[in-house]
Amino acid sequence: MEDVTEKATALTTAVINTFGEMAFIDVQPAAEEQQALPSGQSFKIPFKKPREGELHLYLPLEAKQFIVENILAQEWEELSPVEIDDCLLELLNVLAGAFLRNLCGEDSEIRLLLPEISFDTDEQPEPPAVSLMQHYDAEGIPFAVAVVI
Amino acid sequence: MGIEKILIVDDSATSRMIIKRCFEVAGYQDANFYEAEDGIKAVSFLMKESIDLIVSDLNMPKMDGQTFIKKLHHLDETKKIPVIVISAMVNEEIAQQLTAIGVKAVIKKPLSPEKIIDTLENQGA
Repeated sequence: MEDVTEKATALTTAVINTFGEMAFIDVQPAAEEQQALPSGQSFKIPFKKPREGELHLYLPLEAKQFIVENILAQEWEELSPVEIDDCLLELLNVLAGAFLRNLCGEDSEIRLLLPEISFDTDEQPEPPAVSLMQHYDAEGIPFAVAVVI
Repeated sequence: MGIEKILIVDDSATSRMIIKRCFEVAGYQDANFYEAEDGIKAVSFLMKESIDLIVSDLNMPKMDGQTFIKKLHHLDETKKIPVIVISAMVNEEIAQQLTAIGVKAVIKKPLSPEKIIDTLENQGA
């Protein structure tokens, strides 16, 4: 059973690589003063193998705009809510696969369920009962990722 | 293989767009791209259109990728069409299972033009 440090390392590596390769965004662990759970939309993806759990992605509006505009190469105003959500769910799908491979080995059998929107308002979300919550900085914009495992 | 008509099968519109973009950057900018959001729609399309290459995800609703690929393998109209799988879920064991049911290559997401070039060069395309 992995300890928290191993999970944190696996997650941070996955976040940095996935955001870099899919969205061309440089991500770093957030500074102390950026450690609050950002208000905004949240997404989750359950997974079944090699471990069972969920990955949650918390994105304020600014982060969503930045990510989606980079991936889709279109202005935010040109995109429909469906296109925006689909883009972020796909990012989460790739991130989850990368996290599980980092945590359990490159050759692990990965079984992901379908990603979904878990929280759809701009109110401050309740933090879930998580094993790990990590805060990140996407070129000045905060976001968070949580793991339930 | 001469690739002029490519069918992309993925439930995510973003993923379909990324796959198409990567193929275009990899040198297939003159190919005709077709899209299906699940295996059922893809099979229906393939009954009417000839295709040179199928690019499919695994994690899809209604009909998952492995079921879709097994179906292709059993249909006269589709069993000879080369298939490449692009997924966040693949490992060596799954790649071997997919190869056994006719998949030519497996690529882990996130996709890049370089991965496409390497894969198709290995296939002699």
